[in-house]
Amino acid sequence: MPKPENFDKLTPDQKRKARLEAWINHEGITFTDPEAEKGYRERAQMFADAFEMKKPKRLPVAIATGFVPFLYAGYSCKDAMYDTDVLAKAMMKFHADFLPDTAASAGLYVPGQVLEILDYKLYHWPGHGVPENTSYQCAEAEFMKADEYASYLSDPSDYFIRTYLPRVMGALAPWKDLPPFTDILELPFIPWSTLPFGLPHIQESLKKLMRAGELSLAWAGKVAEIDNAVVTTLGLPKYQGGFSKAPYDVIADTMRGTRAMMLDIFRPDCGEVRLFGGPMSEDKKRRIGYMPEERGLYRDQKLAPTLEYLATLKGLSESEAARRLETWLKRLDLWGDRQKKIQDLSRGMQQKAQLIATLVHEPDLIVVDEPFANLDPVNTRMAIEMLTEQAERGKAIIMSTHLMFQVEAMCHRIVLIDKGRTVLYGTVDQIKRDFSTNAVLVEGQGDFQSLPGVLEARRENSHWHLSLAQGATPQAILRALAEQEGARIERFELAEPSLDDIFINVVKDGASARNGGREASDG
Amino acid sequence: MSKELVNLVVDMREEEAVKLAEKLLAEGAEPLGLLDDCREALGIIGDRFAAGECFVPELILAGEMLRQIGALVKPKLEASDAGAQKKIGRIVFGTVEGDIHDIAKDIVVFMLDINGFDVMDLGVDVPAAKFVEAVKEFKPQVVGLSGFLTLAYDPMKNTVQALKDAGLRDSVKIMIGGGQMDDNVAAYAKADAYGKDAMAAVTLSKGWIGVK
Repeated sequence: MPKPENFDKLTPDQKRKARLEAWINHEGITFTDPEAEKGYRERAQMFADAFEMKKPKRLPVAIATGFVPFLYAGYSCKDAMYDTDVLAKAMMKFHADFLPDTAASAGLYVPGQVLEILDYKLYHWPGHGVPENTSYQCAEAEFMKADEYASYLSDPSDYFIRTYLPRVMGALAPWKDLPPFTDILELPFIPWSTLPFGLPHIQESLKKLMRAGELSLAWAGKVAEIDNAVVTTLGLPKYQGGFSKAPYDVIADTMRGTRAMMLDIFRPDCGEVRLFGGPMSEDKKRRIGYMPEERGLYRDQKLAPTLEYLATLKGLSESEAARRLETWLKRLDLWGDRQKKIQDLSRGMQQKAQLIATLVHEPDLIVVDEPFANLDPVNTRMAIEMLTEQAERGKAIIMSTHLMFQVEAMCHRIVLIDKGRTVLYGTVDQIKRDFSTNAVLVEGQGDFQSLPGVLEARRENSHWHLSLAQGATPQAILRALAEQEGARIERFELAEPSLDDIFINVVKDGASARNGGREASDG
Repeated sequence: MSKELVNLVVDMREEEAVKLAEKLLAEGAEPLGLLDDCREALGIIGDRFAAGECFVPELILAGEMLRQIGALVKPKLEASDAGAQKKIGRIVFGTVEGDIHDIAKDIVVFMLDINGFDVMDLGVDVPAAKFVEAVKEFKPQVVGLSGFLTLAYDPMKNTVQALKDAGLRDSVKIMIGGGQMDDNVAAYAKADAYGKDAMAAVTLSKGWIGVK
């Protein structure tokens, strides 16, 4: 069905319309008689109307046939999968007798011989694991082991070729002996990498696969013939473009089996969470206070009951929660608003309430994400005080923020994460020292431009920025200044870069490293 | 009794639960007490499942934990039947002919077992004649027919008919369940009831044998 030339430029709605048009106009289909064509158009139109929420001429009927066509025509389910003449006769009879509004494809009834050649283990099919008059059924098992997720996810093709397929198809079992195709790197590797294909058991598996391929090809030709006959003689539109599987189905049905997959949900595949010097436990969760960036308070509930509820979730009794909350609410100037609904509080007030919820159970580990967002200067100072107070009481605080000056003022250690990777980690002092240039800031009066060891002296607002020559030390500069006649020094300090500067530098370097170092080589 | 073990099982903390069971046994805890703890935990999980607060994966993991703890306890139980829990009734259970699905069936059998029933599990793709034989031999009060696909409707009907033909229909209550089943299928198959999940099977069975 050709689409309009400008198809790629259409909106999704227009594309849908164009597809339906093309479907109704049956481009590429030649009907055996005008009646069939008329019937086709009418049927397709009914579906198109239904899709577009218009009332169709009548309710169109699309059916999932299962194996009914064969049982109806007096054949077995097994016949359908082993005899394409039966497939043709039964599909035609079923559609001609019932005239559903769509053509069901014969492609659903896959060739049993191909499955046999491959020794396919994931399914049982009629006469092969289930009775001849029963549909094929999935017989899931652990074709992927619990510890193989990483291997599968890191290279799905390799995993399928050398691990999954050898397990799920007996004919391909020898493929577990194949080396990875990515070993074929250069000339010296060629013989060693092709050698396995000379081994008899590998060759045997390839022959089986080729035979299965031939049969599948012949079968697919027959399916196209059958489907085409149903469409062109009876005027029944085909309606399935194809099919796929959801990720859950791939993991649960195809690879791990439902039971195993459900256990996988609970079982860690690697690593462990350790906290406070031991494994994580339910009790330890109560020793954590977490303030998410997306606030999580119930908007239509009143402030005090909400905070009390959250506090009891962290293990406080209701009376203890109420007692502590009174102190907190008064301290943060929310006492008068305690019976208001959360949604009626300003964002700053909600922020303070969230902070209370984070701290009320006196956690040992406090995790705060952008804690100062929406706070005015007065409340920001109060929040800083609260966090500092917690730190002074020995609580560990992890703060996520983009405000570098606050990091500088409040944090002992920082970790800088860019694109999911740690690019910087250390104490604030150490990092600033690491990034410091050999320079000093001087404020006062005197001749700062002609000091020995000073490469460049630059006036910055009220002070001078002196870049020192290699080998020159700040101590030597200070000594020289002290000896300078008439000089008056009001401020002398090492010029340290701000965390803002460091952040920008590190992130920019990371970006240039990712770009093949082009930017780095420029500067 | 270990409240901690109950909590670990209920909280789905498999590794810790099994480790604790090992430790308790090593310290000389009463093996049967551990099984009682598991049963208490399973009861809580079953209630949560019925209330829609936990789901099939939790039932499966709970079964897995019980299996592991059961394996630890078993060698410690004396050869005498001290370990045998008093059973409240007998049930024959199986997936009907032509259907090979067993995940849901296994969960139902497990929950029935946990709730004190002596269950004879016939497996999958079970012909009607095998159900008849089992009922004759095991003399259950309840027969459970499981099936995932629509193709199980007729085998269910045939199985009920076969029990009738053998003169056994009045001696048992028959419940059906599984993916495509509902009350209409139960009526079609002439079964006594349809149960939508494992807990429904427990409730139905307990109701029929008069246990609360």
